[in-house]
Parts: sequence; structure tokens; C-alpha cells
Amino acid sequence: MIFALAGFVMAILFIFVGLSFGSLFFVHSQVQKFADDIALAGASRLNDNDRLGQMNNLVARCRQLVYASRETAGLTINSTPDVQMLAQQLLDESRKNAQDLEAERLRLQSLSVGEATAAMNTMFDGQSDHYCFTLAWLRAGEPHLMSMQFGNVLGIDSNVTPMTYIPALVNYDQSKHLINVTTGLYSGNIDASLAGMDKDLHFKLSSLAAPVNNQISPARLMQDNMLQPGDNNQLNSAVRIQLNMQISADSSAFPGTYFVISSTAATSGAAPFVK
Amino acid sequence: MIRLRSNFISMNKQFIKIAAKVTLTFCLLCFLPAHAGWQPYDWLVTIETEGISGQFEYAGSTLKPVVLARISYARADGSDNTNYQTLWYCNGKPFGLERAGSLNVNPGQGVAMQIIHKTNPPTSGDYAAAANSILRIYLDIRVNQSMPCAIIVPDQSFDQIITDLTKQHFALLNSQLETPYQTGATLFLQDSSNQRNQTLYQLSDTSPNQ
Repeated sequence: MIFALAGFVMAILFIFVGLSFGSLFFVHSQVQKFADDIALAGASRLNDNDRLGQMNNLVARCRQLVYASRETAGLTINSTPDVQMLAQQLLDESRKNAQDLEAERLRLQSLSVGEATAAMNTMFDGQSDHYCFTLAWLRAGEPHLMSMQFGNVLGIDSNVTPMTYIPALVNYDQSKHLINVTTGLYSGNIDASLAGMDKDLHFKLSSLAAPVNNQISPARLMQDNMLQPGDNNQLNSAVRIQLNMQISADSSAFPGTYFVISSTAATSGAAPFVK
Repeated sequence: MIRLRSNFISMNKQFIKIAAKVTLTFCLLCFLPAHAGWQPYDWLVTIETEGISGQFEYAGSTLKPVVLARISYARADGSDNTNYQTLWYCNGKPFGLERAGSLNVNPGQGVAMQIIHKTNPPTSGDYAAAANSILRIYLDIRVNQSMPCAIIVPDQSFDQIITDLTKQHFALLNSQLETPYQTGATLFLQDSSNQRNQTLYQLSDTSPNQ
């Protein structure tokens, strides 16, 4: 009789322990999914309407415009001095627009990060209270958004295909290792500055997945260690967030144990470029 | 007798000269209809502007609207059509170039330009892109030691393109032809129906109309 009673008590105990672990895993998986959703929402916002891909492509074309304008202006000095003034006017215009484009790129960088941050905060604030609960033997607190870190995906080139029709520029790019010979794309997170009198201009190309056979890479989750923290004012194409939540075995009071849950997501890749 | 003979030979030469001139003129007159497709240039550069939607659509974007100027050239008879380059215009300003080929026109050959707007109806961005493309192609033609000829623009955009050119340090040439002046770049625009034309020149410190 006593053994039966002890066995019954043990069974109840095991059930409680099992339910506790079960609840814990359930909560963890739910909060992990919540973190994944937030990270994906933020990452998707970064390259909204392919703005990062379009900017990268325009930067590369602006660089070619400045290079060609400088080359033409140089040719007029000896061959056609009567149009030297026009050549200089067009060169100045190209340089001015390159500076304006860099300013706009920097503005886009802060705008995309700001919009992604707002999207993640909105999603978090709207759903965070869904994840706190109290059982007789377990209490889970409301998750908190600890950090957001923006950056790029490690090892991903830019989405820009080199334009090959100005051989001197291609040779320069190859000599400076600006082009990844394996992928045939400009490397990611580089400043493809020109040499000579235009070296003061910045032509920054950010890392972003290029389309493959006209297929756009969708926004996706990735491993935490694949995030390369953003620096050098490059456009960001990935985000890592960290949530924490308290879990206590005492249903009546905190503090309990802190769980930290992180999620990392990359934005959608670039769309095929307009020809 | 000798003098008479020499006079006869001299008259004969004069006659041959006159006959040759008459024959040449006659031949030219006869062959004119056969050369109805003749153009006063060797090459024609086509600048085709088109507005592109869905570019740089974000809050406060200074880069839209985007207009592409696709530039190609061909011989006057339409053969040897070659892509030359695409210029990217954002909000009316040139922001990008994608070179696709070289300007294989021999030095000294006449090169005309024609503007085509694929955007219907054309926008202010199309006019600005056309005007700036004209200047850039004009410069390429000059550097190539070729000879710029007329620039043929659509009737409806004739005035707007001239206005945009005047914003780029060009002025209307209204001086008398007898007035001597020195200028670097000179553009001769005519509309496609050949009703209007206008010469523009680049302003400099010593320009007459300044």
C-alpha cells in the first residue's frame, strides 16, 4: 500500500517535472520563433523595394561616369582645346553628382536602419506580452528586446557585375582586387575609389546577394556567427537581435533565471538590374 | 596658220570644259531623285530617353524619377547599328554611365543626332536627359575628331530641350552672321518636321551675348 502510494506520488512528481520542462521548451521555442519573426521583419525592411541593390548598381555606374568624363577631359587638352571648357563642365557635373550620390547613400543607410529598427520595435511591442504566463509551478516573464545589431553577411560580394567596356578601368579594378574572380562580381563592403585626381571621391559598394538566373534571394534566417558587424558606413543587409526573458520556478516572485534568445536574418537579395 | 590652229585648240578646250560642266550638272539633276534617301551626314546617333519606374522608391529619395538615355549609332543608311552607352539620369541629373561599345566613326565624318522619347508623353526628366546627353555625345564626337551635324529633336520637345540647354551654360545664337565671334561648342538644333531650328553656343567669359 505504501509502495503504491509512493509510486503514485513519484508519478505525479515526474509529471510535474515533465510538464515544467515541456513548458520551458515550449516557451523557448515560441520566443525563438518570435525573435526570428522580428529579425526577419527588420531584415526585410532593409532592402525594401530593392533600394540597396539599386544604390549599389548606381554607385558603380556613377564611378564609370566620373572615369569616362575625366578621360574625355584629358583627351581634349591636346586634341580639341576649343571644347575643353565643355569637357571640364561635364567633368565637374559628374564629380558633383558623385558627391551628391555618396551623401544620398549615407542618408539611405541611416534611413534603412531606422525603418528596420522601427519595424522590429513595432512588432515586438505588439506581441511581447503574449509570451508571459504563470503556472502553479512556473512563471515566465515578458521578453525584453536587449539589442539590435546591423551588419552584413560574411563572405557575400556586392550585387554589382563589372562593366567591362572600359578596359583601363577593368584592369585597374583587377589590380586592386576589387573584383572577386570566382563570382565575377565586385567584392562586398569596399570603397572602389578611383586613382589620380578623383581619388577623393568615394564609391562604396556594399555586400548584398546578387540575383542568380534572375531569381532574387529571399529574406532568410542565418547563423549568428555569419553576421559581419556593420562599419565604414556601408549599407547594412543583415540584423541580429537578442531577447531575454526571466523564468522562475517560483510562481509567486522573480528574480528567476534569464534566458537569452538571439536571431539573425539577412535581407532579400538584389533584383536583376534594369538594362 | 599656226595662230588660227592654236585659237581653234583653245576654243575646243573651252568647249570641252563647258560641255563637261553642263553634263555634270545634268547628271546631278538626273540622279537627284535616285538619291532621295541621301542625308547630309555619314552617321546618325540615336538618343532614346525612357522613364523607369520602381527605382529608388523610399522616403525622401532625391534620386527619382529615373530616366535612361540609351544611345546607339548607325550609318546614315541605317546599317551597322551599334549600342554605344546608357546614361542614367536621376531627377534630371546625370548619375551613371554604362558604356557598351566604342564610337567607331572615322575622323572627319559627319555625325548627326536624333532624340526619341519612349516615354509617352515625355516628362521634364526626358527633356533634361536629352539635353545633357546631347552635350556628352557632342563632346565624344569632337574628341573623336568627327564633325557634329544637326541635332534632330521631336517637334513637341524642341523648346523644352533648348530651355534645358540654356541651363547648361549654352545660349541662343542670335548674332548677325557677319559678326565675328569665337566659341568652343556650337549646337545646331532642328525639329523633326524641319520647321524650326536654333543654333546655340557655349557661354564663356568672352561670349558676345553675355
